[in-house]
Amino acid sequence: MPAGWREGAARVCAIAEASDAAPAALFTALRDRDAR
Amino acid sequence: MTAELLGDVALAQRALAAGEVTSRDLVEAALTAAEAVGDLAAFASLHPASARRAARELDDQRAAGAPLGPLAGIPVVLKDNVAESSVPNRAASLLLPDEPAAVDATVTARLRHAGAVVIGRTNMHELAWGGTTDNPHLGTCRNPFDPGRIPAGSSGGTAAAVAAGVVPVGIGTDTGGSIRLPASVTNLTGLRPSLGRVPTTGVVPLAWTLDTVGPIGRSAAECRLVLDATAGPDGSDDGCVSRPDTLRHLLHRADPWAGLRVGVVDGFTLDGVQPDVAAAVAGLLDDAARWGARPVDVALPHLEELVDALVVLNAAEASAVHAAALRAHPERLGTDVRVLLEAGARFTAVEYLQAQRLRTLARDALARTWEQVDVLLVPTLPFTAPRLGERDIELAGRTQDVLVANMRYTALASLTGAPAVSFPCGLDRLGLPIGAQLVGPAWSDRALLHLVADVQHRTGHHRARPARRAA
Repeated sequence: MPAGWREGAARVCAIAEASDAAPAALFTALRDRDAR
Repeated sequence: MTAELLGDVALAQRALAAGEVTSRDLVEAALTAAEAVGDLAAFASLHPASARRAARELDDQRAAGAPLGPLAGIPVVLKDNVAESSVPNRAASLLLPDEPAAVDATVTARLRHAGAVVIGRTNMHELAWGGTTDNPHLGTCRNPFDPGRIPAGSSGGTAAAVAAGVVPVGIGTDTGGSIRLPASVTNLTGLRPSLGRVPTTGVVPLAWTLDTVGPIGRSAAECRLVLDATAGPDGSDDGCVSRPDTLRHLLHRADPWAGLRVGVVDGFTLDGVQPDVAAAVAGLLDDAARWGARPVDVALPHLEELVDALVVLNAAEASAVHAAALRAHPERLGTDVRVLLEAGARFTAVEYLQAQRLRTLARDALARTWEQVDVLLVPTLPFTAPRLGERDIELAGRTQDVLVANMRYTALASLTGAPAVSFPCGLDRLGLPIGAQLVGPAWSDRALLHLVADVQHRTGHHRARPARRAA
């Protein structure tokens, strides 16, 4: 893996795990599509 | 005279309407210009026969008094990942089949409907996965401001063609910054439209949840014409919707910066960038204050980690898009893109979803920011154009990978779906262009372009031309 990618993914995971956010894309996109 | 017309659509339209020039003249001049700057490797292919035919038809329509579109007779270029009927759509890669596209991409069809004449397809970073436009199949695209430097990417060929004076505007695509980055380093204006504003039907995907298609032009005026001609649902792209413009009140104001709240992120907007870039963006902020804008300090969380999230999403999605072809023919790829595609397949599903969760946090934080400010101002890139082949760059005492450092300021709009315009704000001490970026709420694309048009009217930064140009 290119330099820093693995560490970058770990930083992303640490922030996301500390939140209660749902994933932004795909699921919301499907919901929005159904709403239309 | 023709050279001037190839850099200004409004001027060209006036000359066409007055009968001072024909579409055929413009197309012929653009084709000659493209040949003259062949050393820049800006093109994947030229289509002289079909371009001349289209120009002749437009001239005939004009002579007959038929209604004409806003881009009638104007030569344009398409990035090599935007479909044209009867022409292979290979994203400058041998990984994709050498078969002619059955139909135009929506963007292509709409440009033609508006009267634009496609003269050719432009070089790009292979599969749009990278920021140098150093293409193993089409050659190393060069920056007209200094052919020893990159035009950035991935839409580097479109930017090089426009900057060199071949055409006034062209089409690029932007996933992590691929319209804005080349626009920045070639002194052009580039719009990443709001996610879902312009259909991506017929565009080779790089990352489905991030991809956009939009213009790179000599000024905001050219970008506005292309946005107006290409935006709106097409019945095929499910992600494309119709929404009213936001920041509409700015659109009819002759003094749009007066009272505008311009967000500046302390410790981010002007930090960790080359000194000349910081000075140019600070200068623009001072100008904006003189024009009546009010700079407002804002805080946005996790800005530095947004690039990490963008890398995970872009890499994983690109590896999914090209998974079967990569398994079958890895030898057809250039080394850098093969490495990126193989690496993207190694992110886990959990990592991908955590990156999507960070995206939600960024989107929510940005939505709260729009209660405090109207737009955000940031550099487009932390640096001016790197030299050809330069993989690392020294910034603020740290050595950074160019691909990742490239996206420091473009990741926010890419992840949140906000529109962003990169526009010229001066030259560095070597005479290399510096770009600034306005980011606004979803569907503020036209307001952002209106603000940039006002900057361009007041400053003329966009008029600086490269040494290497057609005429």
